[in-house]
Amino acid sequence: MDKAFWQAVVDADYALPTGYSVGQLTPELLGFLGSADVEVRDPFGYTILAQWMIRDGHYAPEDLRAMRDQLLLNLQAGLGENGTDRVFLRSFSMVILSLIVYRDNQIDFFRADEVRTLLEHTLRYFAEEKDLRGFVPNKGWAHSCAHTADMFKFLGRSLKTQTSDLERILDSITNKLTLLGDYVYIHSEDERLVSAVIEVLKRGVLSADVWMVWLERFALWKQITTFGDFSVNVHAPWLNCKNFLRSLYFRLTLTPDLPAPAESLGLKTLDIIKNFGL
Amino acid sequence: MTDHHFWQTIIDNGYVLPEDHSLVDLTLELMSYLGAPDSALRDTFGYNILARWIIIYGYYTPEEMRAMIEWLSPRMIETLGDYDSDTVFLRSYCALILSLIAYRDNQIGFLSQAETRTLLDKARHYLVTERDLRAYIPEKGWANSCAHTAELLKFLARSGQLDSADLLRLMDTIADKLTTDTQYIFNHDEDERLAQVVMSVLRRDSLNMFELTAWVNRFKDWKQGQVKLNDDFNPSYHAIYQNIKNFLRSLYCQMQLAASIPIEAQDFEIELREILRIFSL
Repeated sequence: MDKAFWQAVVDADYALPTGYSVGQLTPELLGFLGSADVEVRDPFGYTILAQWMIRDGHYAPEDLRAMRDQLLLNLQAGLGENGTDRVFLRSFSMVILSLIVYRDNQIDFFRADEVRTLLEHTLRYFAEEKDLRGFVPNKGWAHSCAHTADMFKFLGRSLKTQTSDLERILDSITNKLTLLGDYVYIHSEDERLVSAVIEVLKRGVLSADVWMVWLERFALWKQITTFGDFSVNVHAPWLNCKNFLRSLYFRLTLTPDLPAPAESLGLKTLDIIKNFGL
Repeated sequence: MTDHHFWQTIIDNGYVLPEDHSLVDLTLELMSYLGAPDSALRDTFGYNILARWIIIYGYYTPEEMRAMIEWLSPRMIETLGDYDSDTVFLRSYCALILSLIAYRDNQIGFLSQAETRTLLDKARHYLVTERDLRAYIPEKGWANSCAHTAELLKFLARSGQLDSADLLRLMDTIADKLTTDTQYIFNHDEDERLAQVVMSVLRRDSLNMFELTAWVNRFKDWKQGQVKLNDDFNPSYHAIYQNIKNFLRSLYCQMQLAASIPIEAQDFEIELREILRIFSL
């Protein structure tokens, strides 16, 4: 791998180097997504693909479909492992998939069933991903939760997802946050998940009742969970829920022009936060 | 050395001082456990029994509690600077037991103004200087120095011996702590405990809106003073940002959920809300 070559692309504001086609260079960029090298995965793999896909529109629908197929396979690589470098490929495949959905929201090339298939894969991946590390010292971002949250955000924005799809996104977020485990999210995953929830809210298709029932699940989890002597496996989900609810509360109350249920959802959220306080 | 069975029997008997034993001797023994890496000695026996004897049973005379302060205060700070070492237990648990004595003082009022201020100064010094911020340590249990110091500051904040100048210093110490360079992200309720200190200060209703606003703007100043050189992740910036954000959110939520807060604090709440905007996505 020729770092100087790719650095020159970055330095040229992501212009395609003369004498090369996007089709020639993209396979190597996709390969970078699994690199544990902090100087390769993010600044080259992610950033160049993002610029070429979203800003420059270099990829045709069939290119994006081929990319999607490969990225979906990548999600399976080592899924269930924790603490290994394979998380980088999974997590960065997810973030590129999220950009493909973002692109679809721009230019509308997917059929609705394709978007919903992506949702299925995302829900399964989110439930099964065990490596939740955010920023890994010396190796940079892994951030699988935040990248999946980005995917939910763009899926939530897509008009090809339906009411029931949106409910499943919300439920999968609650499932993830209330899962017993020892990982406390400390790299703004709470905010990223809230961004997904806000997109779903902006769709304006879920009834106030659905929202209330969804929020109530956090209160219920708190109620039925046994908090005895300190246990990190209970503490972590408790704190993850609490931080998420607080981010949600502030976003609901600080974001202008949200659909009608926002105000009552804010009050309800604050009410539930009460149960998560000291 | 008295055995575990002896202390467990005391707990099983509702923490009552056993007959035929000297309160002073047993207290010295319990205090000697405060630095033990064994959480049964330190926490289950040392902390729990002393807590009952100080607060619930009120076994100690003011003179005895002064002697305890004399024993605890220097030990809270003498190994300061150690990092990732078992010495944190003694420092942190001295702060915790001092917090109980401060609580007791609020019940019966035995400390002079000078004594209270001395304790406040030591607690402030300890809060900003403690570098070992680990909360729950696998196998060894709680260290939790920040939360324990917050407890001490909370009860001191309620003391009628402290005036508004003392309370302002106390508030500034909290801002100092949160804006001090660190890579440690608090995630064991330290944010809530520190916010409780501020709530105790607010309930005193002795700081005016200008003082409170100036204080909370220190966090805004910190944020605005950060020069973002590039997109690289900076663990130190991130830790401080996250700690401040969680603290301000805890404070705001505690104010929202409080049954009543003084008028001056209500105006302050509006300011706080504005600052929270820059700590939200």
